[in-house]
Amino acid sequence: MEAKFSSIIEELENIFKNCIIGFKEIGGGLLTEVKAECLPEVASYVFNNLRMYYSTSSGSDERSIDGKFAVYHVFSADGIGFFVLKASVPATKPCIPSITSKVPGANWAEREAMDMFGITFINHPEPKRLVLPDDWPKNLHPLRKDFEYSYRPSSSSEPTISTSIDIYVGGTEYASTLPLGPYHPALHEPEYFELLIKGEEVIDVKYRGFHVHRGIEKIGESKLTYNQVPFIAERICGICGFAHSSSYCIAIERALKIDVPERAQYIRSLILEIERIHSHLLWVGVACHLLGFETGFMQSWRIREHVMELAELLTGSRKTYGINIPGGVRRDILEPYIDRAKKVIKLVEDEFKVLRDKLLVPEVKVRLKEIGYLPKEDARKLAVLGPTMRGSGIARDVRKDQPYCAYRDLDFRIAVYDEGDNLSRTLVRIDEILESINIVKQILDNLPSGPIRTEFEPKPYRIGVGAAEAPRGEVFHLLITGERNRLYRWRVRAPTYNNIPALKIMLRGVPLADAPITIASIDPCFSCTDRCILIKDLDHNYVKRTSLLSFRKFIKGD
Amino acid sequence: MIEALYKIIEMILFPGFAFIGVLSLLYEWIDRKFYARLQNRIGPLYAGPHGILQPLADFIKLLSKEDIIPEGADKFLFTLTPILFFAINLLLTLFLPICGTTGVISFTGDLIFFVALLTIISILVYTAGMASTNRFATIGAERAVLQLIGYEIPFMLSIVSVAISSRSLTIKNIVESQSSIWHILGPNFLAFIIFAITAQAELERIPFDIPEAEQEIVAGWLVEYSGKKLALFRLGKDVETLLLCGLGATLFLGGPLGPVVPGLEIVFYTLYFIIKSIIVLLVLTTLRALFARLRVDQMLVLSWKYLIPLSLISVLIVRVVF
Repeated sequence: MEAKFSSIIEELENIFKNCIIGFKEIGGGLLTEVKAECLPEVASYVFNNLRMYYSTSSGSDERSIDGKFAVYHVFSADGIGFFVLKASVPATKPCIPSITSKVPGANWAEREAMDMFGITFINHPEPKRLVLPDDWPKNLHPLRKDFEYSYRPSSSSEPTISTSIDIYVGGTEYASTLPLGPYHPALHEPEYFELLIKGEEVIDVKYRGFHVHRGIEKIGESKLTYNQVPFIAERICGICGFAHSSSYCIAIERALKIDVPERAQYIRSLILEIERIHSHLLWVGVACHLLGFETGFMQSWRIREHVMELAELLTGSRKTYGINIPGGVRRDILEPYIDRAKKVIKLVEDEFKVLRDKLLVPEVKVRLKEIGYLPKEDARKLAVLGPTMRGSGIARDVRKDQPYCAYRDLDFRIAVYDEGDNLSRTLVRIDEILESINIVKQILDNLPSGPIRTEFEPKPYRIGVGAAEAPRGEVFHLLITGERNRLYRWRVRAPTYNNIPALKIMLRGVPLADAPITIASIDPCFSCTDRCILIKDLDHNYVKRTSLLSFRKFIKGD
Repeated sequence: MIEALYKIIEMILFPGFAFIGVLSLLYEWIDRKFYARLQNRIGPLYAGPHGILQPLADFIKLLSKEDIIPEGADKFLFTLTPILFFAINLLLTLFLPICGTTGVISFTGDLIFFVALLTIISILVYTAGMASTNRFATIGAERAVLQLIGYEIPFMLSIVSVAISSRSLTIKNIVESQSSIWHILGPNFLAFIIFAITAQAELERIPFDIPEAEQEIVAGWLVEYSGKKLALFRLGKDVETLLLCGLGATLFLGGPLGPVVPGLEIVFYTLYFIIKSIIVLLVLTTLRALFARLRVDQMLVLSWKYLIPLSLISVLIVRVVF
């Protein structure tokens, strides 16, 4: 691994002689330890000059190892591996410079580290709470090791840091707010968008999420053993759960250098692709529904049903397959089922091709075209992922860039469209369905024989990164192994986490009628973004109970 | 005396309110069932044979639900609009020639009166939305009026071309003028297409369900209505569907006319009327299944750029032919 990174190491050593403490190989990439004060410059160099794609950041409480907190910033060196920047933060005064001004995509991840570890990021442009609720007590940080996972603090009466963000742009006199969520027919999960509208035009949007934070990372770090985590990881998302359990397994396999049998790799890829097909078909249905095209919605979900049955045939479950485990898979695919699976996949392909031609008709296109524009450069800055990224003309795909499972051996194409509007994101997904069908066919034809699982010896304090291309984009897991067969740190980053900030750009200037489809065009999956205990927004009921216009006033004309 | 009694029975039982009520619930069932089958769904199934009683069950359920008037609402208008909405729709059905060439109410130039009242329904949608003062409802109400500007003119013009070819503004005469050939088979075919599209807008169905677009503005102007008021709106909508299908059948498909066995005219006329209006209903349902919702600006472009010129052409053609 270090050999592949040699040119980068050399370059960095030349430029940042005094900043770099050392390099270390980790599972899935390279860890570069830098002095905290140099972090922004190094990150900026890596992001802007080396053109690495930003992935995510994470805090970590390592006081029991070396008496310090740590911050990890992860970049993806495409084709080589993940490039991780680590900086230690003294436990007495946890302050570190923020990289958000250089790498805008790091905004949320740094705020999360702020909430969860109490690390202060100096010069952060928006130092507000992100994950924790408003009535959560000050100076209580749930992911610190001295915080018991079962502890539930009583709500503090005064909200410490306000989450009601006011970023009104000019001309607000005539603008009014329109709540989109937490409960809204267009959103299938609780999430709050406050649209600022002028007539029918959206001029700004405020976002408040993390209503369904479930403390999954904390449970993974305290209660569960290595072999139990994949099952809870799969429950992070109701749609792309297998991508989560796969990327957890990949991370741990890379950290502990486990050789996974080839057959297991192929089975994982097969299920990942089946998951992508059903997820994209689901999205196509939801998109049609949001456009008021109910027939497209129903037909797309009818086809999806075949895929769900296929998943049941192969794994025993329609969803949340539970077959992933570090070192391989738990369940083999039986020979007689392969022919049946081939038949189903052929049927899905034929039916979907018919549906595709019926979907891309002018009256649907006219609603998607030139709406929700996301420029390529903004997409890179905010580090959006998946079809949102590829719809803005960035040809990246974890399956190609950081191959995992069997993707190195498989032949497939990345769907890229340059327009950056809702239509191009739709087209990316439609192409990906057909491409995934192709991959499934290849795997079913060439499934290697052999064992499906291997045993492994756990070792403490190894770092591993794992990423899998979920239907919504790159799912990223960073973990540090611990003692007693448990994880020391487990960081989960769902693709929607990176994609939501881009909505601010996409929604600006969009007609109100197109706001739901624009939000849906990133295929948001809020529960996996939130991951993590019941939250009550008691004190901050910031949906004002006033109406746009009183009827009497309107009649009288004042 | 007997004449008056007869008139009352006609108004209340057949073909008046009771009959219309049953028929409009039946039409809702046909609409839902057919729409479901077009989407590979089963549709209503449990209430009654093939779910035929589902619309009635829904109506009764809504009646039993809690009726909430929001604090900020204009209580008088908020309560009055659903009643008016239902009443006007019901009143208009009395003009439809169901069991004869005339409706229960018929007078010279009643078509103008009919169309005028039909416009008032759209205005009621606006007051309903505005009176509830919910922000989603306000947007929905504004959209309803914007949409009205779009579809009202072609809708009227399509009726005008029928009136020109019949040389009358009385529904009775329009029906009788079709005793040899239906209007839809003549130069009025274009007018029928325009009528079908604009009727869809009048009924706020896909692709023109812009004022109540569920996914965008929750339920638009209807959002604050619940319980009995919502039930009245729902039933009113069903009656309106029947009304427009019936109007389409009357103006373009010859209304209740057809070969009859002497003595059984009423039965045959009613049957023909039902069949023909169901045909119009199926056309409308198919349109609903085929399209995605338009944006309000796209809807206005569609009507001002295409529908209005087309309807003017239709009027011209009809004027030249007749």
